[in-house]
Amino acid sequence: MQLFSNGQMWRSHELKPSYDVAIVGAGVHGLATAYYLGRLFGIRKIALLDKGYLGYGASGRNTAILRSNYRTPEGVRFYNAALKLYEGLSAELEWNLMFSQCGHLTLGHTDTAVAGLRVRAETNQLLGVDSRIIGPDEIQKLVPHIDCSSAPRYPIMAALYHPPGGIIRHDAVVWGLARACDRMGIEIHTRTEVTGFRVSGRKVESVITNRGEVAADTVVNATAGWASTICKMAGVSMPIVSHPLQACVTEPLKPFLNAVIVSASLHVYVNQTGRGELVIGSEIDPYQSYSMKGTLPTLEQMASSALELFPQLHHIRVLRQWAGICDMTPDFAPIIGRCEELDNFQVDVGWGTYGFKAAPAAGRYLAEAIATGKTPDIIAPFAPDRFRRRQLVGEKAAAAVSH
Amino acid sequence: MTMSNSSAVQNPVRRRSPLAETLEALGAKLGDAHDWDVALSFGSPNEEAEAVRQSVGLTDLSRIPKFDLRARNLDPAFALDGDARVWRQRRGQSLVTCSPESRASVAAQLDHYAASAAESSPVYVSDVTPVYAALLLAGPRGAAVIRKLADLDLSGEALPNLACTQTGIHHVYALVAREDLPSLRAYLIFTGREYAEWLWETVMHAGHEFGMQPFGSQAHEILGAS
Repeated sequence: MQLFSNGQMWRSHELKPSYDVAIVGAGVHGLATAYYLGRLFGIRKIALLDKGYLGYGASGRNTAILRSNYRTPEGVRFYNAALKLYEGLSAELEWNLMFSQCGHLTLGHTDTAVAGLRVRAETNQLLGVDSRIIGPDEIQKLVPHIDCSSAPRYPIMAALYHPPGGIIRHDAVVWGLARACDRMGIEIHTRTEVTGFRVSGRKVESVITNRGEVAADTVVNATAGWASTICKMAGVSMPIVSHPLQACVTEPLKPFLNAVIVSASLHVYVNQTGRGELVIGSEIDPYQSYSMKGTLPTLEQMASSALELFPQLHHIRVLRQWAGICDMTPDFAPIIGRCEELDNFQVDVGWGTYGFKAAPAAGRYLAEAIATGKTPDIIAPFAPDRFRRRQLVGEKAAAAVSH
Repeated sequence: MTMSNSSAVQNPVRRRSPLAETLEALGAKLGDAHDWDVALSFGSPNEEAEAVRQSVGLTDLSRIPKFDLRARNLDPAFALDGDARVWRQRRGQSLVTCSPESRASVAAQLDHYAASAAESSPVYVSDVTPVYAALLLAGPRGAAVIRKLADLDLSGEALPNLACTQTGIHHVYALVAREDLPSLRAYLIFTGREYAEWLWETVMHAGHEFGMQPFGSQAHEILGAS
């Protein structure tokens, strides 16, 4: 397995006049879609178009937590498929993604929260996902540094323990997929901003960019943060609102936390990276915005919540704070598949705070939908027309961030 | 936030240098020093100290307290009590360092200085200890190692003891400060923590022809006392 490389990971190209598939957004979702189109279905005349550099958007701004302990059967099946794909991706890409399945604990601080976790545990177990309720004694054993006493404002009563969950190196995922795409001849065009679409009838004829216009048989919107803006350019309306979500990272510490800790009551999640830094995430900001700047109130909230769980951190310094943009849907589930309004316009959007976890499965099954023209059952519940059909998925209860 | 609960008392956390994994891979014995996980030694502290005296050695001092001091009209004679050093980076900006034992005293002096500054000429102090890595290159061949990496005049006139200069080492910004040990030439090299491993490997590579070896905090203490 290769850890460092002096070779070029991906090349630059001139834009060609036409492609089989044009994917807007070269983040982890766009890259995964291109990768599986090329690897499983032999479709390699693909252009990935991104207005920034690779990893500029949500792919580089998340907290890199992977799990499949969701609330709905549709969500559990889908995210478990993503987790399984992630488990094999390092070997497949021949690139160390630094996936550590250290376990994931969702803390319950109230009777109501624990009851909700029990429902999730039951659903998870019925669908074959390793997930169970554990008490304070076992939590303390798994995480010796956590404060399981009765002193905090919200004492820990129980946790949903999900051993296969963990953390991954998000940059490595992006770079590994980009390298694999490049090796298949798939073109990655960074600094290429999509400014519009040429639409004729029920078809997108071409994508207009700041570097020229490209025709494509299929166009995919795999953006995060600007998903509704891109859709609007094609005349498609998406039920999405965008909120910033902030996170921060501390100075490195001697490894002491070998699990992902999540508290829905405190709206905080904490994990320790291989380098020793603590990555601390917050709930989404209460206002809609495209701002990617950190704010002091959120930093204070993250710090105070983390200190309730780990008082030992009182003297530890925060080194960086950042924000990413989350595209929230009415049912907190993603929107994947062909848009009703256009025959060749596919979307992979609306991921809220779950996007990075889902990328391989979203890419894998969207690629199948594009290549075969048939929507795989696993992503059918997330079809764009579900809002018109009033068949929502309802994944709100599965996150620590208070959507 | 109180510190009364038992898990916090029984399970303190320790800071880590960005070089911790590199040093561990080199066989360092790690231990606690002032809340930091530091490389105590790589074998025999006495042998490490002797190797430094004879030629050159490199150690990680990322744990030393560092403060960014910004004052537009900083008096050129500005100094702090104790073992604090004021490294002038550019007009209006200095890096203040001290021993871990003096941290509280130096921080209090800087806070007092900032608080007493005139409104028209504010003073800003930030603790940047985890932001910068610090390497200590010590020994008679230390200057030869730096000359391989940077186009610097390291003569006693150009860079006397307790003076500093800025340079690029293998594309990485570095502040090189001369702070001799007793009877021994030594340079502190500061760089952003993201580049610590890169700089360590670069300096070690350059020092290979001089037989440069890493040394730990115990050897550093021996050298400091000699």
